[in-house]
Amino acid sequence: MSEAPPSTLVRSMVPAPLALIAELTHRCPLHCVYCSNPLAMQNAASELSTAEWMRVLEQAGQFGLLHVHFTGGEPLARRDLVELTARAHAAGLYVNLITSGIGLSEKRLAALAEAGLEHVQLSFQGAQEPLADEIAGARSHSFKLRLARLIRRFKLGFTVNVVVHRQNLDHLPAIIAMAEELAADRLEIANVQYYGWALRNRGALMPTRQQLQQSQATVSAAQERLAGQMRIDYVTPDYYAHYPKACMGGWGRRLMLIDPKGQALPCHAAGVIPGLTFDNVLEHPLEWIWQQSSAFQKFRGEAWMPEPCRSCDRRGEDFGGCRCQAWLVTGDAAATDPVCSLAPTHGQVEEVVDRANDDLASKTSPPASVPTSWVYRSNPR
Amino acid sequence: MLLFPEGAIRLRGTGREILERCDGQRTVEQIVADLQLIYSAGDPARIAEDVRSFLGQLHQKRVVDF
Repeated sequence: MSEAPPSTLVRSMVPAPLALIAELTHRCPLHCVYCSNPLAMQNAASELSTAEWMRVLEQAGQFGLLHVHFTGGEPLARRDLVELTARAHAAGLYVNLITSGIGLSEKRLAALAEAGLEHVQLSFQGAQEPLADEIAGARSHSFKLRLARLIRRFKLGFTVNVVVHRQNLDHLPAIIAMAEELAADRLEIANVQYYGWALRNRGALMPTRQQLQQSQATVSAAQERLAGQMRIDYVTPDYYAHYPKACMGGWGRRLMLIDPKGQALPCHAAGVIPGLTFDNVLEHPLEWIWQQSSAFQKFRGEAWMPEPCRSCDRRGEDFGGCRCQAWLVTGDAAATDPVCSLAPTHGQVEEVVDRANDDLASKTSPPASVPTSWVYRSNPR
Repeated sequence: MLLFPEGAIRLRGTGREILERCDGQRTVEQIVADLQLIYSAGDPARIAEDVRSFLGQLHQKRVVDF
């Protein structure tokens, strides 16, 4: 033990992440009202070059990461996506494309499959065209339906992703039927998580308790009926949960996100937390950032935890929940996630949930009309 | 190592023996027969049951098809 050089010791304490989330660009043809991109977006001129991304992918393979998730913005907005896919595949990474599908032709899909793409996650904004297009802020639903059929002609794993909320949660049976008809291997139904753009639209997106209970019954029945045919994963809204989610599988524990300009972040939203410094892949190797970067160390492990997390039996399961949510709701990034029923600040979350269930709109659940005051995701200038 | 978008399964021993035979050509019956041959000291009925249950679990995860 005493013979091991210090770098080996550090490495043995923090195993390599499972996956790299490569946020290739913030450019996107859609304007979804719950987009997980930061409010302040990076423009095309600041994006990493092809060669720079290739170096990152090679480092990821060498460091022992298993997956790369190409995402954005819309990753198809990068003209070099086929080249990046080929390089990631050559580096031994399992390549997953998370996409709106806009910009994908049959020719490009064939090139991606040829380059080693393994899996496509195609996002839908619902199952009903006018509402789906309204949420996306662009006409896109019918194109996605056609594209899904095209994807199935290739030997690729296929997941349909649908974000659900107050306005479309009651359409769940139709959403499941749509994914079934599109012959998805997997359907991922995720309730909105309230960061960035979604937080701005929270009032119109927060489901009612009744909607949520109904949705859980619908999903359970569908899971049973479709076992072995289509796997359904359902992410419930953490505002209604008793305990927080294990956000990102724990801070600096499983996942590493590289944003368009090369900054390495522990999660999509970490940029909102003041005082964090994000090291850039242009200046440091991936492995150094994972092991040494102050942002990754800040909330790694348990030393930062306040009570009640510090002595909680669940601290090894949920890691104290989400740091960004703690900051956004309580103004203290090191506080217990306020969605936790044990958190001293839980009242603030309860208030939001009560409002969603009390107000006039919930008396006519599903809400009679979609609000016209959406804050749409803008594009980087 | 078996990879899928939301995770990875590290395969060892018999699990690996089974999955290495999932090549899109062999049937479940052929894989069972192979494993019964390799583990000839084991109870053939038990091996058949174990192979089916293992593949069934992976099928539920939608990482293998048969």
